[in-house]
Amino acid sequence: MLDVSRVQKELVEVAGDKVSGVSIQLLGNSLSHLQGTIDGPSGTPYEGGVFTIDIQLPSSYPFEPPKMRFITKVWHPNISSQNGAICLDILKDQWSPALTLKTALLSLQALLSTPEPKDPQDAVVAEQYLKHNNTFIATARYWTEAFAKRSSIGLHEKIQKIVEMGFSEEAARAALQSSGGDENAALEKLCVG
Amino acid sequence: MSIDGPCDDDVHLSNRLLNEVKEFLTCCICLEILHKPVVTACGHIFCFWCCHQAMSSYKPSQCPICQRSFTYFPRICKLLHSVLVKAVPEEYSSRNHEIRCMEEEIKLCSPELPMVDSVIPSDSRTRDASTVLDADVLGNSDNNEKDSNNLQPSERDNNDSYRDGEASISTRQGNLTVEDVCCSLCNQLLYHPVVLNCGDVFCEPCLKGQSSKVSKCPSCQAPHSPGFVFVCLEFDKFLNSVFPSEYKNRQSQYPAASIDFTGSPSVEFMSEDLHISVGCDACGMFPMRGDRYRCKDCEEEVGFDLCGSCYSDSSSWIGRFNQKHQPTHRMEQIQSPLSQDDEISE
Repeated sequence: MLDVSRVQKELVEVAGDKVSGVSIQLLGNSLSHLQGTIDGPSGTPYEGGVFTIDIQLPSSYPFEPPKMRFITKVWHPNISSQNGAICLDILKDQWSPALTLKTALLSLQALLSTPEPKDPQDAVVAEQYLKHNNTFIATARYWTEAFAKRSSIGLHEKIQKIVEMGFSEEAARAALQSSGGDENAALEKLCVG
Repeated sequence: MSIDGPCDDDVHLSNRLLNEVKEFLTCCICLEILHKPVVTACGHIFCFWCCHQAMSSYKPSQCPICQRSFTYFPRICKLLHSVLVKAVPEEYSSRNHEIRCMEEEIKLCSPELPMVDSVIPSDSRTRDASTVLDADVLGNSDNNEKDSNNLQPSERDNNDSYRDGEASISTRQGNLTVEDVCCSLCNQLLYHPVVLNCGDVFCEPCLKGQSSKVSKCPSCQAPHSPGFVFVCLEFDKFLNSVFPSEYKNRQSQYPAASIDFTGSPSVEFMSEDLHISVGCDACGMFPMRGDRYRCKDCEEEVGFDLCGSCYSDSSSWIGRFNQKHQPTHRMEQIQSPLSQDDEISE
């Protein structure tokens, strides 16, 4: 049986906190399936991005860790570039019932700042991080631009729309990016350009 | 113990103070006001059920706050319980009600404790347990008298109405006095309180003054099996904010006292003869290792078990889950399923 009262208390606390750069939203009526967001930490390739995290609470929460997974695609040694699975000890055997969803999200934010390539979730990313760090930073930044910008929410649909009007996908993406995701401004640019 | 005025010393908790105090009296697991608080040897407070649920049934448990290993389920700290009854009466009694409903669902009980201080319940069924606990909370019966001396005259006149319970609890709000939070060794306000496995509380300087190694409780003689004990900081902060002048006074008596966190818990854990999900009702060892004796006569589903050393020590103990175990009950030894290569029953 999920400790509903504790989860509600946690949600209230997160909602009242505007400075940590984490938030939690309800998905429907169930408290066992939530969605969290974290701001990419500044000074990292994730700066400026907003990352969405799927949160499933097992019925024994808080005595078992919440199940968390990145929905937003992210290029990071400890996060699967395929399915968003996270390799972080406190979400596994180092979980403690004194931790909360907020502290877990803050830990994810910290994980973005300090990758642990020696304990990787995504071997490809980890290898790139260790061997070609500049390429890693560029890729991570590009993924942040492409998938984690607030304006990139619905980006795919916008690109599709523009493509349907007869422009190439590359041009559509470039125009949307330079216009900050504004569909009309992008179209204007393409027509004038 | 000195008692100055009958009511001048009463601390009427202001709203600001009350909020501050609530922060110290909140369980970090359920995020509610502590209910039947237990304190681990590392000095962290949890609700009875929160601590129980946070413990591992097959390996050493880790403190949810500091991650130190512990293998003993502490007894409820009755002094902290009575502090909660007085400091946050409404919240505490509604918490108690919620937990009761939960306990009915899971068909387990936590130990019964008096919900209104120094009240003799009219219900004869609960009388035995409560009288014992009352005596424990207050140390001796003459404290009982002092306690009623502390009541304001109007309250003393109405003393009878306390026996009716709930309705009058609120009138006692803010009636927490220094006498409620005294060390039984020095009879002064607790300073750097440490809570032993048996739930008794002492000042760290008083306890450590007796001997460097804490192996048993100086008051109830129960073994303190963890072997080490750290100051309960939350309780210390609580005392500091509720009784600032008395606390400062105590502080000045120990100018050099610094809180020592250097003692390292030595957790011996043998995995053979392990009894998964079974704990000793006397010393609280959980999960139980070594010899296990189970009561054949206790009817409660949770059963009543003793470890080898508590079995050979004949003192009578109240069960951890309010079992009605009697010294006359028959006990039988149970082999660990792990030592027999049999299937694990639980």
